[in-house]
Amino acid sequence: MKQKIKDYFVEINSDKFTKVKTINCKHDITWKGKDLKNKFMLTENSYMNELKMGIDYRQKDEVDSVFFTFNYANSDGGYPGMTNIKMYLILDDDKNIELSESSGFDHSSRSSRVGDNYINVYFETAQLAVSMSDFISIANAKKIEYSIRFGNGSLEKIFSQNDIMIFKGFYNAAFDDDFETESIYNKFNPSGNKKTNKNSSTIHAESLSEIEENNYDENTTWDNIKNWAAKNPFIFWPIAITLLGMWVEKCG
Amino acid sequence: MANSKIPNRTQLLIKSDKLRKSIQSFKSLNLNKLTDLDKGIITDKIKGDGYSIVTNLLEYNIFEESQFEYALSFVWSIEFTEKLNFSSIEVIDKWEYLDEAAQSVLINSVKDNSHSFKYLESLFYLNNLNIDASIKQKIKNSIETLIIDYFTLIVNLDNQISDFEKEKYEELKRLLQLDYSAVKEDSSNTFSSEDSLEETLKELEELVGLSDIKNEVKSLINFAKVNEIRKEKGLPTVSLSLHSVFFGPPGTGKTTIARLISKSFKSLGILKKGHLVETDRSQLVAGYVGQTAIKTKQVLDKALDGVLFIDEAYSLSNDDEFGKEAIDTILKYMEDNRDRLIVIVAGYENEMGNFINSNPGLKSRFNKYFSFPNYSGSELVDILLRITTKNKFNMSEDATNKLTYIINDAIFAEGKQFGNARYVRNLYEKIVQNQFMRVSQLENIEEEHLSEITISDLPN
Repeated sequence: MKQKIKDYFVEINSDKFTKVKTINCKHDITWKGKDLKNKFMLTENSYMNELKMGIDYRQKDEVDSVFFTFNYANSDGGYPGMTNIKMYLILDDDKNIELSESSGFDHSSRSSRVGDNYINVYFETAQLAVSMSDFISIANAKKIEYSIRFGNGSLEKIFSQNDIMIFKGFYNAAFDDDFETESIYNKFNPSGNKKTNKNSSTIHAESLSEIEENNYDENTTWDNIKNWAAKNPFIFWPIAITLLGMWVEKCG
Repeated sequence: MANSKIPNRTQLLIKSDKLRKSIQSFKSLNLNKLTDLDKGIITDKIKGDGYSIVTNLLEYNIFEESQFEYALSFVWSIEFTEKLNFSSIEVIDKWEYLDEAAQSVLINSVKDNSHSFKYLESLFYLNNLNIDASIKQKIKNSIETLIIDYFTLIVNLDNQISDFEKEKYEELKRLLQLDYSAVKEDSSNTFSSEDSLEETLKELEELVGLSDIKNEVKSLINFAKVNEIRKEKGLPTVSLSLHSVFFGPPGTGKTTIARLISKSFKSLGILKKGHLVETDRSQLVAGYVGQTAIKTKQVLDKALDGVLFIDEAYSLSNDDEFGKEAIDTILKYMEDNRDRLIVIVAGYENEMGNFINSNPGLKSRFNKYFSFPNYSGSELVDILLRITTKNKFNMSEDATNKLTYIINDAIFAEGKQFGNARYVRNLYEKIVQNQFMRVSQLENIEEEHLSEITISDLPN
């Protein structure tokens, strides 16, 4: 059970040159579509927009930290600007946490031609460091309200139980395999709750049992393309749009 | 642990979180079955038991030497304290950001509330509660589990269990299995301060010679006793510096008197622990400037709530940089812990006089002087005879006469270096060794041979 949870939630890597060990959560919490409309700098005109939050842990010798890594993609003309990102959390209506210590920021953009027009797609990455005690509190929480603020806007909601399970699962897999093991496992057990929540985390896509089954499935080429596209939307869609534009031009 | 290679500090936080949850679960499952008053008392008792487990396990190590173990005791303390608006895990994670006052409140709460680990006060209290037997048993089991979990967490912090820790575990098991209805009697005897003060005074009276010292010590004890009674009655107390200078040659009873003073002050409630920490230059001074202060502070921390006895204190003279650093550290510590530490400096009269006068800080703080004279020849004979009697030996009359000459010869021969009572103890060992040798050569060994010391057993 413990190993399955570990396999499901984390990927552990170690850089033999830098001696830095990383533990990445395999599942992100994703916001897209109407969740993001009119938030931050987005407008109705956006072709695509998506915000993802991942959990990472990095350690070297006796120094370590947990990070919430935000990836933001936006095709709108307005520049989102995650440099001033902040995240506020209220745990179980009781404990407030403010994450504002940005430990990394990166951005890139790509121009793609659509018909006669070109669209710019912006990609941004920002990281917020989370102290270990705060992360332990987050993992222990039953209800988490959040406010993500950057640019000129904010996104305020309550994490779904599936999202909360990502924090719990990561904590279990990375730090303490006795932590709520049974409830975490049961949550993704095939005989357990298989309902999905489209507006929320990507964790609903596969249960622990499905992962096991998938390991033995022989995927078709089309399935492989679909999987790859789902995992890399920022690369896939600009290419697809460009190809579509070229095809429309050729046909026209 | 999911991953043993994660940093120690993170592992500590994870373990602390487990402890926090165990305590919370214990509280919610058990304490609501008690009245508010009993709940409050039993919570305090459990807290105290936890502190005692840590301090006994660490042998009263200072915080700097056992930070992680102390950290778990902070979790214990915070989680058992009602209405705190901060989390125990956060306190540990952000320890460096706490101000010094907050840190010392936590450290001292552990030290101050540790009691001599004779029994578990929480179980003793629970045993006397007038509640349903099955509820009592359930709470008892929960306390046992909680305490064992706590102990196990502490000993496993370094991922290895030493023989000492195993020994302490056996001790803990024994305490958990004690019949607490029998403890009642025992505890009332153990904690009767009046009795132990009487015992201490009796012990003082039984010492050979030292009549002036005995009177001075008795007057000091009486003064402190009256002061404490005034304090209890809400009357103003008289400020009294208890730091003392003991001067006199070696073997004249300085350490013995220091120990009796610390015991009597404990009985009077002036000192919480009343233990004596003996030290000298070698334990206070380090090889490099800067390190001496750390080393000295470690010794001072061990002596807190008791008496620090610095033998041959004059060797920390002002001429030497390391010694000066040690003295400055001691003086500052004495000032910061005015009511929690008594320092006694000891050594030869002239050297101690120069030492005290060399530093105005020392001169102003040490104003009680006890002069320990050399024992007279007859007093030393008396001491030796008491030792032999105590060990069931009889000394023949001619041997006793010869003993007087042997001791007096030694006093003249050795002069200032004469070891007084220390010399007598060595002499006793030599006599007994000779007696064993003689008796072992007898053909028929009777019982009276075994206890008789004759003139031939005395050294030439």
